[in-house]
Amino acid sequence: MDSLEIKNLNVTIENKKILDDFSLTLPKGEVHALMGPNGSGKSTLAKTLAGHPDYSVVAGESLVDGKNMIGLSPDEIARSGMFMAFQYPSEISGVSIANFIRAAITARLQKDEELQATQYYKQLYEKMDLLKMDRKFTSRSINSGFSGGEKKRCEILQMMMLKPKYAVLDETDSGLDIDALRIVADGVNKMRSPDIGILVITHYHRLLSYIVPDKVHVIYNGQIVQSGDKELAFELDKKGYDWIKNESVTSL
Amino acid sequence: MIELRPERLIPQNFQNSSLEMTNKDTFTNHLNRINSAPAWLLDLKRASWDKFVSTSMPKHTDDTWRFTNTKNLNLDKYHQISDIKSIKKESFEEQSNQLNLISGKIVFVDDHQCRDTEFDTELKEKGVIWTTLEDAFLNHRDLIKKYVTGKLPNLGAEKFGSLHHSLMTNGIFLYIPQGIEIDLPFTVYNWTSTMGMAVFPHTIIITDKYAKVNLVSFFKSMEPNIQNLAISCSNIYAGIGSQITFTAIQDWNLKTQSYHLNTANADQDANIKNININVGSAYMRHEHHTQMFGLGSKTDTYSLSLTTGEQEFDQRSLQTHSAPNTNSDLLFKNTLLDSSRTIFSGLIRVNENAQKTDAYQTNRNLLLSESAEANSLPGLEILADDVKCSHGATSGRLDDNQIFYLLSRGITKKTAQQLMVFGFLEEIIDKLDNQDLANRVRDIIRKKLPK
Amino acid sequence: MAVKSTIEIDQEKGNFHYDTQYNYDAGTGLDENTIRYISDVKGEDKSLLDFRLKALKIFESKALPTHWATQDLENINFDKIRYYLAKGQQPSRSWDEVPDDVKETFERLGIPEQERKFLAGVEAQFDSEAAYSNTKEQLKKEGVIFIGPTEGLKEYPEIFQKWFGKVIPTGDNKFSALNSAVFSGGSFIYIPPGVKVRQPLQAYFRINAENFGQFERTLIIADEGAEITYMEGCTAPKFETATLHSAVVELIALKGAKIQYITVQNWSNNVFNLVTKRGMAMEEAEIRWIDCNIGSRLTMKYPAVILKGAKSRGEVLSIALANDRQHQDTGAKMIHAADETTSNIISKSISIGSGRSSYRGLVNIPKHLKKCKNNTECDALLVNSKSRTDTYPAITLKGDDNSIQHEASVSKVSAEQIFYMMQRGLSEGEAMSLSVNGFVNDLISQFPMEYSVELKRLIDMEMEGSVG
Repeated sequence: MDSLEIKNLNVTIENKKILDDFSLTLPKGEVHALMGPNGSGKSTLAKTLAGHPDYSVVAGESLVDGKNMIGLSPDEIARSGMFMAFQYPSEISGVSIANFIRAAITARLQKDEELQATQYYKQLYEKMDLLKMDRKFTSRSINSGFSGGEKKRCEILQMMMLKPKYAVLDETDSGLDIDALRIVADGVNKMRSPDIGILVITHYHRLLSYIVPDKVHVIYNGQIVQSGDKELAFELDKKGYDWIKNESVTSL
Repeated sequence: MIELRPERLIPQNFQNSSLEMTNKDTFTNHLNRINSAPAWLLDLKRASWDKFVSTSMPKHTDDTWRFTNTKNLNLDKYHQISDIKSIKKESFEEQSNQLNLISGKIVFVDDHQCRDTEFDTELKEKGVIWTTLEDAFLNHRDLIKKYVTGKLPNLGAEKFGSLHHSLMTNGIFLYIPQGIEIDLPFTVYNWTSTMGMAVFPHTIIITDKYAKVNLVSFFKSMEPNIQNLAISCSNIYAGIGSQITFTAIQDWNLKTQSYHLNTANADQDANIKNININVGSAYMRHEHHTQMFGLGSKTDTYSLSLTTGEQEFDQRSLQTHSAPNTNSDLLFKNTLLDSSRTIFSGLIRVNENAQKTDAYQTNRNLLLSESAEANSLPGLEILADDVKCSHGATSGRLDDNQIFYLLSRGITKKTAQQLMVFGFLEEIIDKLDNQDLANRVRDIIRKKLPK
Repeated sequence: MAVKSTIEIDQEKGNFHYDTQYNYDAGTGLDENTIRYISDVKGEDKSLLDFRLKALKIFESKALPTHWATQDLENINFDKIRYYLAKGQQPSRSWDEVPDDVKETFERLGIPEQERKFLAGVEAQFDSEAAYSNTKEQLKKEGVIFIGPTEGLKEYPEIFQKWFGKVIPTGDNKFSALNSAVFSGGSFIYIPPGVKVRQPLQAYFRINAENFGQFERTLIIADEGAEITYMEGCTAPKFETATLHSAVVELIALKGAKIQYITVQNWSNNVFNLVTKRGMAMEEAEIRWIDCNIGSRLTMKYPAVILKGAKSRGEVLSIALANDRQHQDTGAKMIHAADETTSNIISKSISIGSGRSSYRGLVNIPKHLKKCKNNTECDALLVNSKSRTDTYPAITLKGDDNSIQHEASVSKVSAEQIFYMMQRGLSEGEAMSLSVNGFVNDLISQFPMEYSVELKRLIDMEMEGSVG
């Protein structure tokens, strides 16, 4: 029960099939990596799990601790404990990070609960220190004029503050230099606990040297074609995705 | 003395007719002169004349004439009789030679073609049409009929536009067949030479799919003191994926009353660039309507103006986005000296279906004298919601600090000012993308700036 | 954490009305007799009656400005409007004396509560006449006058007549002429030299009766070095038929004076709100309009400042929110008439659903002025595909020693932005209101505190209602 269970997910966008009977189980407390070449369906999976309206789920389920998320609105899914770190986070001018995260936390409170402002800021500053973010960031508009590294740190900050049950990190390593990559990875590693399952979606193994996964899955043509331990990521790096393509052809 | 080309539409012996624009005989006489014209053209002319007569002269209270000194507009003292026989050929031959590398050249004096058409024969063989309207009315009847439609930008000067279509006799017709790309510009020179003469230059540019062409049009007066009325119309149609660059150098003398009424229509993925260099005329009305009716089309409209004395430049533009993913940019830069005035009125209209549109519009005015006046009416009408649009208008003076910096290097104030003016206008000159032409434009500006 | 608002502008809060017995009723339609009736009830002298009658002639002679404004103006049926309705007693100085139905109206809208809290003076107008008017004793001692225009003319003719109708002449436009003909109620305020009123004065305008036209007239004079903040709030119940509100507001800031005029309009969806507002700033004086337009069927309002004295300063900060079936046609005018004058216009509009917002601006810096500056920024936000926005500024600059700068932009709340915020757990309405608030945030932060909190709350409410 305590897992994110993706069962036979079939997803199309503008009538084109992207995910083809995709299944994957991520138990709470584990970190899995999903790797695959461009166009294999990685980002589609992330957006589908988050309930993006552009993706039509033809069949299948996405179960968060047994509760199906398919058909729920994005905010309902988010409040059910699903977090997605975006590959390209939206810029929203005028809305400060502090206000945004506060609004997101408030949305999760019961009717009679109230957010304690001092407590909130204490926590926010703690997490920001962890991510080596300047305090003045809190008053900046979300992602507006941020560098690639700042955007991704801001995503991890939100994840830390919202404490999801499951997190999907969509190409979080893209656009990061090595220092930023290390900081982001540190942040994710600090989040690791028996209370959260994390799915790291990436094209390269680079990120996986910092966030060591419990399992690695390889996606190709909308399906998982290989699963293994962390060594699979390095093998993949050495042999390239063509190896997988050939493998998947021969395995057919 | 020059030899006139054999007249086709207009017999030469019409000197006796008295032609005042508003006189009802004007049109009758005109029709008599062009009786060999095709019937559909005569019909168009009759309809246009009716429109001209029934439309009243603009008033400054009209929304489309806001800020214009409409009392200075008049049509009474002009006629359509040319005495071009008295012009010395050398005087315009020499000056009708602004660019060296060209694909073709046509020269008009008082709306009459005065030398043979120059035309790269290779292009002719490929099916490119580069000719006068007079010729097109006779030899490309079916094709031209589609494009001489009386179309106007409809931004207020319909009375003048209708007069153009009623009395227009000549102009250029440029047609590029599918896939033909031409880099060297075609050039056309429109001269006025006769006191009181009214001219009606007409320009048609058509590109078929994936064609590419560039036309430079010069508007000039032979003498500094002749008073002329010039109503020029251009209609541009860029076919799918094609590219048109149209540059108009408006350098009439300072006694001319001129109207430049242009439309540009872009089909799918087409790209139209229009550059206007405006220095001449006592009063100039420039109307420009770009319409992006094809998916993914793009238009860029640029204008550079330098006004002195009592000149008034009245610029009205409309960017209509009627298809999705279209893109338009507009930049009008005006430099004002003495007691000159400019009016810039621009509108971006994004229709409901034109989602994912990017549209920009900028007017910058540089005022260099105490009594210069710049009016700016930048407008937006946005009916779609997935758009990125902005407009900006600034009016101001040269930056004191920058001037001081130049002076501190030992440059005189006049030179410093000149440098700064060029700095301001260079952004448009740069868009010409032709060094020869850019240098000609710089010459024109230099000549006009105070010595 | 809720901060109590200064002006209650909860739309639902305003949506009620009482069946009130009016002792004075000018009937429907407008002619000379209507004017004579109003003038007679108010006990005015002949000169004012003549002023009104002349205004009526001008009103009748002027066409509706539909050649530039919306055709919707033609839907105003001037013959069906009731031009004067009053219970006919003097405005009460004490809350207890206010008639019960009127008292209940304003109590539901929270007026007395606010007065006790932080207002220096308050006036509450119920249809044509003020029902309640009170000014703190201390201010009266300092010579501050805060009464209605009728009383102003009677009690302080020398100050009143000097300025009345001078900033906005009767014939300025069709609706200023209409107001001049039938005006009733409003405020007359005079702040003596050097008096700086720290707490705001407030007027509250309430339409109670159906088919009623409210035509208040406000004249504020800040004498040399005086300072004043004036706030007005407006509501009306949701009636079946259209209601007209057409006010004229004139401000005069004498040398070194400062006037800040704040409006929160939250009319119901069938009010035609056609208001002429203009201030005149003398040497080194400052006039600032803060104008928030939410609600109404059609609002046409372009607060203006005539910068008459050297170094004077004018400012218009405005927010317009056009929800479904609403048209906010607003803007600003800055007329520079002296050297070294500066003006600033910041306008933010939001179009939602089928709502439409238009900005019209006029900036004029004429000949021979030195060192004048104008800055204009107008930004529009579009939320969903049926909305529309227009921007029509007109800028004239003469001379080489002045500068103007105008920037406008149109942007939208994109589906991607909404999705991003929803992924963090916000509902669609919350996400929209967060981005709309984000859009107006930098402007609202320049407003007085209590005021900005209330405004944000109101925007939240509008956005919640627009989802679904």
